[in-house]
Amino acid sequence: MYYVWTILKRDLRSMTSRAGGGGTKSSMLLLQWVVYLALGVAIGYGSSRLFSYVNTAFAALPGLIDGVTVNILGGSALFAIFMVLMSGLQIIYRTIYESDDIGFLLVQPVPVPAVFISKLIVSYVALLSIGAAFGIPPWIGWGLANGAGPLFYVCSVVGFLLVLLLAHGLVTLLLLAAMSRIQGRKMKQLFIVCSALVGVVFVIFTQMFSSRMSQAQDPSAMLHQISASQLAKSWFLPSTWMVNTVLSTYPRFGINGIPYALALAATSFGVAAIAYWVSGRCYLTGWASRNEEGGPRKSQAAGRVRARRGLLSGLKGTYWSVLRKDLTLLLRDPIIWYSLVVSVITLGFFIFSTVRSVSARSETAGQAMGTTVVMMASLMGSVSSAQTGGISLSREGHSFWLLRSNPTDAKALMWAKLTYALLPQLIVITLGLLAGDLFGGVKFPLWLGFLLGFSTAATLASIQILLDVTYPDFGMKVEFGSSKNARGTGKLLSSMFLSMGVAAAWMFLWQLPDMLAEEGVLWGRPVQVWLTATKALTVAVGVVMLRIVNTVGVKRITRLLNDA
Amino acid sequence: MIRADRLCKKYGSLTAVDDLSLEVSAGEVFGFLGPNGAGKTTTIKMLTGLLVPTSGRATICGIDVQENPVKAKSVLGYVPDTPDVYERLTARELLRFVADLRRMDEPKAERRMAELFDLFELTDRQDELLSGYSHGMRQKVSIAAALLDDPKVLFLDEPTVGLDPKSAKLVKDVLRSLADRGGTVFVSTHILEIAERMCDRVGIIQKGRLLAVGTVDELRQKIVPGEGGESASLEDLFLKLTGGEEYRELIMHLGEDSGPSEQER
Repeated sequence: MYYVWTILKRDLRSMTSRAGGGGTKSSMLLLQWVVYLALGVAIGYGSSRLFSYVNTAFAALPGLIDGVTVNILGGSALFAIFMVLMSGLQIIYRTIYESDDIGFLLVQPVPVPAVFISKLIVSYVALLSIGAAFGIPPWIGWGLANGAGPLFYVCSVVGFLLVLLLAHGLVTLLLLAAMSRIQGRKMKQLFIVCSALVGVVFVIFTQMFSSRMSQAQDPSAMLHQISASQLAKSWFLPSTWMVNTVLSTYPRFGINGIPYALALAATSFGVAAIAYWVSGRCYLTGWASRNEEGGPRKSQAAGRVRARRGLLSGLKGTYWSVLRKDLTLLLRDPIIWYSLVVSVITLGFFIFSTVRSVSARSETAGQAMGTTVVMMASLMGSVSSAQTGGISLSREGHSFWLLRSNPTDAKALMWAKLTYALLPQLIVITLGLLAGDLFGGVKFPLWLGFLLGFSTAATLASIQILLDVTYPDFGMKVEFGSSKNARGTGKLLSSMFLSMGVAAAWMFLWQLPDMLAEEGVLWGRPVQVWLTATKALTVAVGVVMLRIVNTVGVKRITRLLNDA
Repeated sequence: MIRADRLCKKYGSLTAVDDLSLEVSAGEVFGFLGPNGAGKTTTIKMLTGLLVPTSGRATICGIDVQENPVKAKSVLGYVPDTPDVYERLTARELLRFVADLRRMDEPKAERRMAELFDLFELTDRQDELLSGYSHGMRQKVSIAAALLDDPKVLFLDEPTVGLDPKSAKLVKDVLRSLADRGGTVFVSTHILEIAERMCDRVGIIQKGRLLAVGTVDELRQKIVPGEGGESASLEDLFLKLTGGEEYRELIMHLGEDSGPSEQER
């Protein structure tokens, strides 16, 4: 215990000095806390309002109120477990295997389990800080709406801590077992694949849920559907154990909470104990192999690499060689094409559910839907492009010397980077437009959709490239979609927010004529004229931005190649 | 082949390279020596078109590096002091990338890649990602990338750091062979033994100023004239020029202080 406490004290000191030290790291940390706090307050307030409404509006239907209560609270606990499974895997892995100080600690006269336990506690606290923002506020909201006593709040918090401990322990066990067999880099690739699968399942689930809810004619029907859900009746789910334990403090639910409380506590502590026991056998092996590759890429793997090269082979010069290299690296960084896949799926669901609803309506509605499809496709594309366009040059990292010391043509390099930035957006926009056309309902020429989509993407990619060549950060070390330093993380985040901001600005511009028409401020011209003008403006700005990139951007990149 | 004419690089009030002029001919291996922070890397960067000098001019094979950097880079090869390479590419893909940047013919690129992988004993691992390579292996890949297009002039910044003795010997032989075939090699190094054995001429730089240029024999005559000068090693000459001799005395004092006292003996 002495060693664990000593290590934790040091971690705590380093965290507090980071938070109070000023600079980007400190601001990012504080911003993160503020966001979590605001989120928690919003969820708690929203839940309180919802439960108060249910209590008042359906006072005559106590069965319905109870059904809604257990299902919503059970759902929130399940969501917290889901969050741990989704983001916790990486957090736990990074903390117990990749913390900078583990190597130092392991060569000190400190027992290995003490190092492991201290890192495990740090990862648990990190997960708690994220999970608590989603998992605890609904309970507080329910408590406030029902005038709950202190016992309810204590049970809720303890129950949540145990549920989180259980999920955390399970993920740790999985990691320990996997790391003793799989090398670090393969492990990270596995995370991406797992996260992708869970993410896709989540998107599909939420879209199905929202589609089901949209069929409900009024709030009462909606609540009946929630109440009828089987979520709270699944006895094997830890979320059910938590709900039944906490609600057993209310006699009106008629639940015997003791078996559930025992099951929750025994399973949580049991899994944590097993993880501790397994760590004694597997932890060092896993830690030692964290940076290793999965062995020589021979035979089949090597063949795959060569076959992929055939795609653009034979095309020489700066443009093609840089584009080919960037696409090869893109294919080996699953997080980028994963976000692309999620964007396409989300967009597909959106188009399917919204276009269907206007299919039988007028020409005007169809045209408006066409604009909406282009807008949504641009927005989704912009999110994906933040990982490519926003850091297309910075991604070169310290390997930039290879481009600098070879006869690299600055203009060709610029256009290769621009193509790379445009690609994800164009893929999403093209698929979105084709889906809109396929499902029907869009009364909008496809060529116009492509022209607008391409112009929006060109504007966005040009801004991203210009910013990146003006403020490159070759030390940001992007790996698996995130940066290892605060500056790099800030650059990635700002790139994403900027992309979404520009897409949102275009959305606003395209909606402006309709908004002005509603206000009656069109300066004597029909709304169609203004709609055409905004579309023409979109195309013009796209062309102008490409011109600017071709001059200003090329100048900047020439300088980076020859003088830095 | 390489010509620097009054090169100067200033960063604010700091002068990194001060009025440096030198010429290196075809078929020559030139060693560029100097203590840490002397201005070796800055000079190499200006000569290779990676850095614009504050004043002065650099030409490679008669091509002005500042006026026509792309053309100059097409005749030179460069190996940096740290072998940072795209970790998610294989060694083969990296060399292919360089070959395409340089618009090399397909058959020539394939032949050169095979030769270089064979030479550096990387044939079996050419299809592995570079993230799995050791520092020394990455260094070999960097050197292979620089040699790929048979450059007329090759610049190397501390090329033997991180290499095992066998690989270091291999690199020395490769550089000698390139010079024997009429190429020019400009190599900066801290390892004076390498410079003494491998280089036809050496230049010693300190605080941005080129203190001496010539063969080791010429430097001996210039720096330690008279009797005893013939036996002076390059290390002696280097320390004499760069003021390192004072440290020898200090180290001797430290040795005396930390050694056992008379009573203990």
